[in-house]
Amino acid sequence: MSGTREDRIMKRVFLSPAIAMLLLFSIFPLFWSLGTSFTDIQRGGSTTLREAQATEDERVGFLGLGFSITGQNYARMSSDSRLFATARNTIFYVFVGVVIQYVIGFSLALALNQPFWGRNIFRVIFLLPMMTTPVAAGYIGRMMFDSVRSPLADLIQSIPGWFGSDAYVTIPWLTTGAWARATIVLIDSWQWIPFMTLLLLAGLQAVPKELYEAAQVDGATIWQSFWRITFPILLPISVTVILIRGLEIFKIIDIIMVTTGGGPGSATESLTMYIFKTALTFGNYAYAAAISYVLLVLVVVFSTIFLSLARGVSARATNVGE
Amino acid sequence: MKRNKTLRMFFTYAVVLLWAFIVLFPFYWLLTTSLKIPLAVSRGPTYFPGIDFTPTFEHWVYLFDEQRASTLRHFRNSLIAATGSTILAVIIGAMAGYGLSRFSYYWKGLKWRNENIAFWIISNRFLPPALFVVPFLILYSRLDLLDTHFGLIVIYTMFNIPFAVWIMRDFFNSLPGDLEESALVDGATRWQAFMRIVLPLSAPGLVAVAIFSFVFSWNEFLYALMLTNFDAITIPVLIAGQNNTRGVEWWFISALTLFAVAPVVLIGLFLERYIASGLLAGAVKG
Amino acid sequence: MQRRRLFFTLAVALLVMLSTALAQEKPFEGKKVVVVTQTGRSIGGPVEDFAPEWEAMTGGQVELQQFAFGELFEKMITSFETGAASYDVLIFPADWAGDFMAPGYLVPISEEVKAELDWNDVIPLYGERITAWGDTVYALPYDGDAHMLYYRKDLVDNNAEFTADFEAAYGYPLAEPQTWQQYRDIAEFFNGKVVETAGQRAPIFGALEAQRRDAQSYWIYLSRASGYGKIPGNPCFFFSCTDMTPQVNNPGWVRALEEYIDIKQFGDPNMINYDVADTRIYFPSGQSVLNIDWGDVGTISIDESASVVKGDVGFGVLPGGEQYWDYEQDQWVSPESGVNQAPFIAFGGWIIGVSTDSDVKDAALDFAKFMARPELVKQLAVTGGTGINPSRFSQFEDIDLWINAGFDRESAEDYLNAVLDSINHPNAVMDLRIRGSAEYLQTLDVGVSRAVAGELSAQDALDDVAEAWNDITDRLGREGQLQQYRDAVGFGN
Repeated sequence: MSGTREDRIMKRVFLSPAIAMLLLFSIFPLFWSLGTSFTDIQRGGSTTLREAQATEDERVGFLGLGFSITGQNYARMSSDSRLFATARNTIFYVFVGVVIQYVIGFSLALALNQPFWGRNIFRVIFLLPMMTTPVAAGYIGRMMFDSVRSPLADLIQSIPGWFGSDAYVTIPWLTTGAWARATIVLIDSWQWIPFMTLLLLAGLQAVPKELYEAAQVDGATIWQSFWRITFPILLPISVTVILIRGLEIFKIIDIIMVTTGGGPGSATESLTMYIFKTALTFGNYAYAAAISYVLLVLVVVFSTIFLSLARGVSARATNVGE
Repeated sequence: MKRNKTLRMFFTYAVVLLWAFIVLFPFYWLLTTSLKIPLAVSRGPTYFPGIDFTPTFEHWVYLFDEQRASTLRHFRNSLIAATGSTILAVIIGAMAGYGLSRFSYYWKGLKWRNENIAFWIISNRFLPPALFVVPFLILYSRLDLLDTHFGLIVIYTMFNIPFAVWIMRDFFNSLPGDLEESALVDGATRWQAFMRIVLPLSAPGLVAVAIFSFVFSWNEFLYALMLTNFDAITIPVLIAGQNNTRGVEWWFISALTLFAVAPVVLIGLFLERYIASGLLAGAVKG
Repeated sequence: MQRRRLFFTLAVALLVMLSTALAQEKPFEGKKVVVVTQTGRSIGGPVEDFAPEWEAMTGGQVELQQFAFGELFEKMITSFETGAASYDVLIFPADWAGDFMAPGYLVPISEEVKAELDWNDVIPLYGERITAWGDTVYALPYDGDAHMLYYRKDLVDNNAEFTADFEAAYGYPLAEPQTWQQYRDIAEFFNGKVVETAGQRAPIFGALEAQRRDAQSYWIYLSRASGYGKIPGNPCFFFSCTDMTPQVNNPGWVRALEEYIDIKQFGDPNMINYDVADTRIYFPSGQSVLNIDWGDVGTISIDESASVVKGDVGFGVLPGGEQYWDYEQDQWVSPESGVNQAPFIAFGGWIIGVSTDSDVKDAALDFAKFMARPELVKQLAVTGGTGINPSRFSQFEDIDLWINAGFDRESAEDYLNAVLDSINHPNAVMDLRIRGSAEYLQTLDVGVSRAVAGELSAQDALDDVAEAWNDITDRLGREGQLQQYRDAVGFGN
């Protein structure tokens, strides 16, 4: 683009509001958390202060501020089995959730991109789950996936009857570890597939029709034109929606608190929920901050790798496509 | 060819109808649950009001008559917070997205270019929200922003900006620059070109961002819970509150969820035309 | 319906009071009192109903803020800590005392106030221990709470068909269970049996117990642990009072956990995902023979919109262990009576405190007194859905009150005796009330839940908990914690 004087000013005008807004309100929390993660600050006074009170000691900690500087929060992480369990669960949610949501979301976007009668109604209907609050989605999930009293349980219990059996079948949707993890992914997917569909559909509508017509003249099948035209063109938007959903699932908490509370056992607790508990229930702000920082670093590294990989693939695919 | 098309139609309808059922059935269930007395909920599933259970409107009456002031207050606050932050996020996000798409930036101190800036913007969504709550509480209590609409609007805008910027940047990237170029050649200023040519062309993207921002702000729970008490408290907090020591009050949850979803659906219905038209996006390429 | 009747009585009371109040000037004109508690009609409902009366009397204004029970603690404590507090009156569960009273967030209650509220009528457990920290009272009693046993007496007590079968199978007569072993046998015996409930014949579950993680279930487990782990005459149950050694992994606690896991097979398949909030919906709807819960189920069971077992519910003190583990002697002890009953005073009820940060302390305290006054709580305790259980002698003595509320005489007596026997029991166990109790109990919750889900054995899970408890104690300062625990249980007094 040209470098006129007007543009040199305007380019700052365009970007500044966003930058200012983010800086203004993220700097304080970021530094507060980073600082706190290296102390022994906790609810009702630091460990240093408490020991001082109990032993009537004069210690006042670092610079007389009433707390000590320490690396123990970072050290503790390596032996925190609850942390590892929550990390495992979270990774499961992110990967399985993103795959399911992307595949189904894409299929629905393709279906909705066809002209057919009633299409506009279906488009609105499909958005419904996304418009409910996650807390409510969690409650809906609990109603649907009750092992005994839900319509789904009714349906499943009637299945043996079709084969002349009278076995009493229940599925432990939310009551055994592996099932509960999967069910939470299902509930989250029910709610967020519309998000994928919405954005991919917007992308699909920007694909020029002539490309398909040209491909049809060349005798390409639907399958071929999907892989040669649709998919490559949608790759950039796909990368974005996958990243966004991945990051969002990474922070999953509402649905889990409502459906299983992190149980059974340690099967479904997510990292965010653990941090929430550590910070707000236990009042161990320092440790919660330390976990958050390690996560932040991991997520940034992971996202960078994902983005550069995606960029590579997308560049190649675009070349092939054209 | 004809047969192929029929098959494709059949397949499309099958997929679409199946999914519509999966989407709609839970809402039907909410509706019936909101009409059941507690015993009818706890004794196992029943399906049709008037046939296998006797409907009652007592829960709706309770929420919208006895508790009317409270229910409507939550509703109004949600509306204010969501609308305010959506407008801000769309404006700020579109501007930044346009900037990142059309200009090249270089921040000397950090050696950051467009890609790095964009990544930094999205990275604002990385930090687990649970931890941010505490510093925000401290910050807001000093700034006197606790329990205010403005406070919620600001924080929701901050959460919405990263996505708004990313989605809009992608959108502008897919819009060819020719039209604005010619407008600039014709003597329009950059701002005029942005407002009169670029924005109308990116209506589908803007609508997507708006819907998304609105939905996020409408449904956000954690911050609404911790940063508001009474004057600015929102609907999700009210819904979550129906689980108390008396038990999970499914009937209230159901009624409130339906009530909370209604305005968003109306907005969806209204804006759907803009997404659906597809004309705008198509015209660019055409 | 009941609510309407209540309103009527109140309207009359209101008129009487108004006429006297009109004569006086209004002391709190223009002052706004912010009251915070959990959402819903339970606990918060009475504030909603009676605040207008107080407002008319005093000229003050009440703003009720309500939050979900699951987030109420976080909400209250963070607002105290960050100075964001704008609450004047807090109605909160007594077991948060360590976090609210110890740091001085609440205004001490003076002798005059106590006298005004007829403190002698308050059951000493509530008036002297649950509302107090150390020797100072910081809150007003509003509600009472202890775990108790519920069972279907139409099936257990007087049912010829089952009595014979049961005795044939287990070798002793079918009756209200006294020990956890009997409780288990009854659950096993009935689970899956087709029985008649409210005219319908349907299979029934043996027992319903909350086992959900991140809920109130660990209290149900503790109710078992108290029978096997509480040593009569020794108040120190969670920790030893000599050096704060966690007792959570001693053989008594482990056995309790094993049995808590074992009961799963005789209950609803969803049980592992049920909170107390769920079981108290399903037990009154006739889906199980046995249930452990707070006093609430008593009033829910007579509410015909939620219960089909009105009049069919038997009430009892929690079962005990037929033996208990004495950690000082390192051995199992069988008490002479054959059962070590140790009712668990879980939770301790909702109590009312006034924040020291409040700008309108006088008005706040006045409203708190207004809500905690004997005549009002007496009425509230018999009204279904208020969530208020008895905490005063007068509430127990006035049996007509309970009969008017819908109990039959026999049930009312049975219920009141069960509650009174639990809270007056010399071997009763108080909830853990020290700094950080939320974290100790949450850690226990995770351990218990992992064992229930079969991820770990009961022993391993509780060993982990003990280790974690030691870490927490060290982080919070062992000396200070020990002192607090001794004070809390009254050790050495």
